[in-house]
Amino acid sequence: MREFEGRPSRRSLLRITAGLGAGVALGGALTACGGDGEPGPSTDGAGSATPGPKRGGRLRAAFIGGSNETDNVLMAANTPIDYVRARVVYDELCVVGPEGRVQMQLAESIEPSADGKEWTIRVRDGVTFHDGRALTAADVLFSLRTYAEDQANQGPLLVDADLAAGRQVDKLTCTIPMRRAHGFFDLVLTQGFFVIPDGTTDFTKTPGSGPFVLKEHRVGQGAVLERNPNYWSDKGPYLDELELVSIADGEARLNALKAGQVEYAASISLVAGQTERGNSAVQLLTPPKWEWPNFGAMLKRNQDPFTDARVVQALKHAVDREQMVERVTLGFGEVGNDLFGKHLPHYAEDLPQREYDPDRAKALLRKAGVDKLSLSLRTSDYEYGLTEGAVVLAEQVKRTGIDIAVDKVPAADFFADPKVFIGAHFQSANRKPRPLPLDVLFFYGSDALLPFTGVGGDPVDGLVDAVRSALTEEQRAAAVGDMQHYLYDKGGDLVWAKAPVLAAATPQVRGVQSLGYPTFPSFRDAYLA
Amino acid sequence: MSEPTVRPSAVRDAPARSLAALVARRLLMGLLVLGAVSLIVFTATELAPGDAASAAVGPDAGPAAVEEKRRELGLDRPAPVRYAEWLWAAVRGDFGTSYVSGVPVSEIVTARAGNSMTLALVTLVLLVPLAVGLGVWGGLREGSLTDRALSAGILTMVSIPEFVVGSVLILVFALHLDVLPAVSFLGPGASVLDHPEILVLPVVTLLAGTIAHNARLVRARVVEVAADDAVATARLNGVPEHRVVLRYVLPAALPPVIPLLARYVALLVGGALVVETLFGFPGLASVLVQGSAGRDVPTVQAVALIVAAVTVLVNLLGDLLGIALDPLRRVPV
Repeated sequence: MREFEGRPSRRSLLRITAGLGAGVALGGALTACGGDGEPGPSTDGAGSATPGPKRGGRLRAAFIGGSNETDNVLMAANTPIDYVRARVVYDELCVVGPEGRVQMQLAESIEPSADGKEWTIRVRDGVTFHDGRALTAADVLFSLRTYAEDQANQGPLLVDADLAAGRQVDKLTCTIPMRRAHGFFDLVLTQGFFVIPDGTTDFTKTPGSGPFVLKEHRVGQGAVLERNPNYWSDKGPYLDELELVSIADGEARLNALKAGQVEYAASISLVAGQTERGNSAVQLLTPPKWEWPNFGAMLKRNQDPFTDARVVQALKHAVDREQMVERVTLGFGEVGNDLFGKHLPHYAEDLPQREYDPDRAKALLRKAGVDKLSLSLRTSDYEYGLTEGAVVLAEQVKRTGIDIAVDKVPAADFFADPKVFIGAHFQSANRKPRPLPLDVLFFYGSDALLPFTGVGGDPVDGLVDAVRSALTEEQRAAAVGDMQHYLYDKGGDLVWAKAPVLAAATPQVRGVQSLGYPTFPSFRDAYLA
Repeated sequence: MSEPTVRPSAVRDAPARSLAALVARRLLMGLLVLGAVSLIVFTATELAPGDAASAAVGPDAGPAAVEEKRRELGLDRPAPVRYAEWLWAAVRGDFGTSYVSGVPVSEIVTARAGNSMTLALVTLVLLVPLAVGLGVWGGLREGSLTDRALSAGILTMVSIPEFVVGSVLILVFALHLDVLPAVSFLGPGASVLDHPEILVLPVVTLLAGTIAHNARLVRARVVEVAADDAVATARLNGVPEHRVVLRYVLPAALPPVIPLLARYVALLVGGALVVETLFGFPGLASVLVQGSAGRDVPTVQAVALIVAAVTVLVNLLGDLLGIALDPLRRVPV
């Protein structure tokens, strides 16, 4: 069956927080696959900076859009096409740059006080919005307060910031007190907080300060954007015009590219990637490895039989990860190690790769006194890899005497009820990478927003607090490391593989950067060679 | 006492009046159908797990975010109240705003309804003469080599799924010959009529599936009619074949087929999902799918009502046309 990608709107923290991380080597640029199909850096791919960007031209890019599109900047994650548009019309204070560290955009500096109880943000001088207004620190405070009020979007991310008590110090500087010591508020600010003018009431017609100005947008059809002649950076934009077109189906996007109707086609299936590997007219683009989604499953550690760590360990040893890479990621991916954040800073590289060991799994089950383990795995076709992985897992664990029934729910129902989704006993996961400190706060501990694995209490809450309050790089590395070591042994995450989100482009397209969001990359530095 | 007289004009007006009554009755029924459709759509969405709030905030949002969204959209109020409010606004022509994007539903639906109807109309204009032509041609030569070849061809066409036909067409005409666009997307501000070339492959794909069905219907009727005594008599009396077809075969064969053809129109307007997906054609079916997945009741209601209204009207039109073409039914009952 053909995949239809006009899925439920994902105006969600998933989109907003999905995997900001380190842009290794190429600063988060999408890299072209080599001729042999091996994803990797290439000298003539989209990630290449040589011989230097060319100015001018018009680039047409196809993304998933549809009838759910909106002009509302606060709801930019409604569809990928909305977010891609917002990313060039608006600026953020900072984004995630190379090595998973914060890279300034509108901000000149974002710094904590010595105790982490207050953060000071200073923005660039000489930045103007598209309507000519000059950017000040008041716009920053207004934007963050607006986001904080909206609990349905990124509001929950700002929970530790006391924005009401934030104040403007001078034209370009403001301070924001924290409710408790916070060591990485700058990392929080990389999670899709666009800066809009103070006093904005109509969020659908808000001017931005980004490299492109919106000329026209028609819901479900697309948008035309023109370069902003007054853009504050002396580097970009390089294109005269950027046209975003809405095509729901992945196959159709690729066909449009091959027929010369567009120059860039977002989110191409791995199967299509396999087919186009040898095609010199199509450039396959892969994001840096840290941005690759994690395929796996989540087990509730506070529900039987997963309260017994030996049962969880047995399952972890019953998975043949190499086969998962081969069969589910079609060779594009790499093995996982039951942890998130691989290739990101602070990832526990020192932990050994967990091996496929059916005998050990059987022995662990025997020790736990489990004769016959029968489980039901909740899964869905919501995204590629969920059902595929579940089916392969069910097959693999049979060799260990574990019986897994695959319970496939309709895509639209998979996360329809948060109680069911968060409360699921055992369910498939396709988690987008995000910087590890954020990941820890989101998913673990008694205060976790999404306690999928039910890991909390002592000692987890202490480990989470240590991550939050770590002020120096050394403290943070140690705290995240402790957390990862704990999760490796006692956590309920099964991560068997990571695989890229593929995109396709004509060979002329350069400089498209995923910057943490491979499904809706940034075109601010894109150009046509 | 005079005997009741029948005025001559009343006799003449009788068919017209009964026709008017029929139309009025059917339109009234149509309104009831629309009401029923809206109630069914609303109830079905209520019964489905989750709601617009959980769909809108997505899988990574916590329960608090969902509650907040629910309040914002007014979904925390009782279902009957929400339905009554929607109905009252809809009756006055206000279909509300999308739960998912906050954009007025009329804005989302209008352009796409136009695109879908254009696609349906162009397909129909080609479908009718082709299906009738092939049906008559085969039906008049029943059992001949031509008829059998045609029947076999038609059967083959029926059995090839739309997405295969469409994919092959894209491969040949867009990717290989490069004479037609692979994907029927429209730039912002453009309409289908500005770019008629984007209709070609979708229309051909739709025709491939529908011609076969309809030609079979026509053929079966023609075979029946051609065996009729009247046709045989006409032929024996030396009436030229084209007159036999036009005067005797078609008038008898077509009326029962027309309402069946009419059903396809509604299917083309709201049910061309495969074609919309394959060609990225901005039509109504994908709005319905996206809307249902997002539990976006206002959007789904609007599309469902448009499709239901088109179905009611086209079926009425088909029946009227059937009556107009059938001499027997023109007499008042």
